Amino acid sequence: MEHLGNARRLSPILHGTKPAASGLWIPLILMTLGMAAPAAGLTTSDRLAVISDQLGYYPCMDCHGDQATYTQPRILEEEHVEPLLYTDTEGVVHQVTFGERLAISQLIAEPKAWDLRSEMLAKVGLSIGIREYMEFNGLSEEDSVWVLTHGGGNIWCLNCHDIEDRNKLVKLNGEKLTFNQSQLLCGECHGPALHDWELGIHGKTTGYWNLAMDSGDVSIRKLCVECHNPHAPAFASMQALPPPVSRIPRRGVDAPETAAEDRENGGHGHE
Amino acid sequence: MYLTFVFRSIRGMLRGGPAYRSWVFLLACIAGFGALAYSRQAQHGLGITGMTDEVSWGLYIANFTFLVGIAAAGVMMVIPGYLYHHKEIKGAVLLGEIVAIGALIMCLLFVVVDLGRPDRMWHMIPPFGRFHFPVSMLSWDVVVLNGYLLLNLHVPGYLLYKKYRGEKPASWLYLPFVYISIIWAVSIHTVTAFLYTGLAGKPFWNAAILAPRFIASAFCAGPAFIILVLEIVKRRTAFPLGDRVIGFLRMVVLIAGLINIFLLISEVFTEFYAHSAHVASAQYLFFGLHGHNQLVPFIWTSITLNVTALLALMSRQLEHRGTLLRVIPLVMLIVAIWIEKGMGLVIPGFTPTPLGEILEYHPTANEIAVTAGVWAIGLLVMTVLIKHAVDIETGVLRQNKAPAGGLVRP
Amino acid sequence: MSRKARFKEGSCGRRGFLKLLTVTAVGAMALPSESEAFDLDAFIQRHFKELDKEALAKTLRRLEEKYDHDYGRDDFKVRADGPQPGVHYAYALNLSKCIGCRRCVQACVEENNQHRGDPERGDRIDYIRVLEMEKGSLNVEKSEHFYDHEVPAEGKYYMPVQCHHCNDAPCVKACPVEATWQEPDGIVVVDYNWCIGCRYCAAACPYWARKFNWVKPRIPSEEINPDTHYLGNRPRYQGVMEKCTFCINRVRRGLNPACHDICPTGSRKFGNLLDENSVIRQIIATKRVFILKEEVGTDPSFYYFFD
Repeated sequence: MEHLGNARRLSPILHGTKPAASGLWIPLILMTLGMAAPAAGLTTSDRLAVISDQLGYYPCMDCHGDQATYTQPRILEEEHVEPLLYTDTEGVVHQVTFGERLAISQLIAEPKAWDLRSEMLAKVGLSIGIREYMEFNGLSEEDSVWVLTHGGGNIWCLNCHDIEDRNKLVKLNGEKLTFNQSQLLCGECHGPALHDWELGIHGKTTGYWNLAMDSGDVSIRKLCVECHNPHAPAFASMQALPPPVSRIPRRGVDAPETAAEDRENGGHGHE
Repeated sequence: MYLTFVFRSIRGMLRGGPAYRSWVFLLACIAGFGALAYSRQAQHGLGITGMTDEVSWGLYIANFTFLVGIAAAGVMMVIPGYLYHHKEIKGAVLLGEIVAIGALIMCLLFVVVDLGRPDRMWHMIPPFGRFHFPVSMLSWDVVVLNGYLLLNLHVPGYLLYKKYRGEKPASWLYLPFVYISIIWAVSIHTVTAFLYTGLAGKPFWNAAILAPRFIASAFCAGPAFIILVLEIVKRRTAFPLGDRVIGFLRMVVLIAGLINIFLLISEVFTEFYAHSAHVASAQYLFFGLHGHNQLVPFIWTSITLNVTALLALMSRQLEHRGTLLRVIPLVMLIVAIWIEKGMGLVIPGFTPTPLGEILEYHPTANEIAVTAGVWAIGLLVMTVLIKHAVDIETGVLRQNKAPAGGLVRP
Repeated sequence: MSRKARFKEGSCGRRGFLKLLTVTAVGAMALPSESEAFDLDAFIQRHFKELDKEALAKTLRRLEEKYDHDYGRDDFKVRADGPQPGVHYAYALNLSKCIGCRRCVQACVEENNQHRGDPERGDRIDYIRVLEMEKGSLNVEKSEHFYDHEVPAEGKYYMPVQCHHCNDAPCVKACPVEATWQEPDGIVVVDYNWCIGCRYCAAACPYWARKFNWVKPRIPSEEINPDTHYLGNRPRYQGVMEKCTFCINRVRRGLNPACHDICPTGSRKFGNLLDENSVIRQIIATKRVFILKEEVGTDPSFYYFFD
């Protein structure tokens, strides 16, 4: 919170708790972890597989004690063509890929993980903006954008999420952060962006340019994750609003006709 | 006394041969038609013209610009007439100044019909209004055009009235104004050029060569127009006009025309050889830009007419080969400069827009009708004033002479 | 003058024609449009700067009544909040971030009560034009104004252009009646009751920021923003010039302009140039800032910058 204080005239965004949101989060988490139907192209599981290979967070050694003999990079999906089955806490059986299986194994290691996320969100009373992000982009929960593209394959869940406490984010030095301090975590890699954000140059601020002129209201600055999906932070493309129509030269336009049109359109109000 | 003069003058203007009467009638009809078109425009707004935010000046301002040139050239003959006391030319000066009056009235009307809020014209008149002088070039233009109109109303008005009374004009009452009007004539076209050159955001206009080109083309088209008037007056009336007047004016037209062509070449070379980003407007005018080439046929017609007419003027043979051959090159020059100093100047300035958009301008029928109406009013003014001047100069209208109708009380 | 009058009489020689002329003259008196009755108070209204406190209050009330009547509402507010001392507004736009989505154009039209026009004829008045630029070029002539696709497109960047509120404004110099001027806080405004509609300012503007009411503006009553400022977003007349005022009705009360708040990418930055802690000053101090068409010498209050 001290960091927020640095940004002048900034009144931190404290959206009200959104109890209705918790219902939404579960499918979101599922999608985040690749539990939803695999999408075309790069899926979460692909990415997770690659990451696990690079970072060695996953217990590959459990099965692959002979890893050292493999010097060539491998595509894990190809090595594990057999679909795996997984039964979730509600007893539903899912057919999952290898990567997904790996992710689930982490969640199993933390038995309350399924509920923690939504509980945690309710506890800190914060929206991390995914709802806004989705609304803004016209996305539905089925959309398969919830893949981890952040970092171009060089990071994965536990670079940001604490391995023990799902309520917390974790900095590189092991310091734990609550979700309303997420910008400090982002700033670890994106230092200049955080600096600009603190000055108000980067990011979106709405409301008053001059708080002194009306003390009753606030200036609202969005957190990083309110505009950027932390798992896929690139700004999504969107449809531009309609272009201006270059004024059609009114060759031979008859004025009375134009006036009649005006009346039809009823644009004059009451004259 | 003066009222009698006014009354008799008006009556004189309404009388004339069948050719005169039908000409006046025709002009009056066109003027009425134009007035109707204008009332439509006043009602529905400038939206019924072809102008847009992209091309926000059109036919009206194009004609305005051209006619300032005609008005400026009205005093061309003042220089030899009064400065060098060239007797023969002195008589023609009167006609030149009347042409200037007609052209100025057209100029002012074109500005008025171009206004979105003509009802607020009083905002320009101090002390009630706020006249942005001397900062705004448009305010300068208002001053010089109205001043020039007053000068041109005063000098011939005074001379004609004296002639009517059979008195000798007092030189101190008109000569100073004659000299002022010589400088003033240059100023009206210079200021009009500055109206354009002062706009740094429009590279096509923001060129120092524009003012000299304005003057050169004005002293080409203006005298050409006056020669046409003189030829008509000479043929149809007993107005005393020597051949040397027309010869002198043809010389002026030729020299000014050649200078104009030279300046055009300088301009075109500078634009196209350097080929900077500023060339777009000139490219649009002369060759078309990104498939938009509406003005291209016009400008090349203009250049062709210009060059052909100047070649014809250079040939001394043509001068003695009948009126038609004498006159055609002059008409060609007027048309050429009307294109070049009218649409050829105004439209490319807006094309492309400062943000690089190209939208071609097409005047609407209503706009053309208003334009024709303004021309008709201007020509009508010229016609009746020339008729008036001819009447007085030839002694038809005299104070001591009872008018033909014999109805007027002294 | 008597001479000039004489010419007119001279042209009325034919009786029928005289009649015609009278009719048209009377028709022309009913300026400026079929739907707007002649309003004497508006006709004799003085220049905004010449209105004293009392006259201004009266004028604002008269306008509120007129607009309420014209648009069938009862909530019109026409204010005339003055400039704050020590404030000079400035705008900065991040070209690295803008994706050209045109949300700002839309928000501007809704906030500022522009003529909605007829989409077919395309005569809606927009204060902002978003240019799709070729990467590697700052030449606006290579820009595309009418793109209609997913943005941002490959190889393009986007440059919205609106009024630059120049400190040496060509439009202010051009106006023959001082109907447009720069306020002490830097906003270039138009007095819609003083403009004569000559459009010299539009010809003078290097940013194509001045827009003309070619017809009587049409805004559906339910789309009206009734919270207005005399020098800003109050409804305009036919035949007058209008332009971006940085949403004078908002910024003079401390709010950001509408285009600023709508921007989904946070490309738009607004603040007080004279406050060294303002975001504008931070941008000027730390970013690569440039002004558009610097060579024209307009000294704008609008900056573009790159990250």
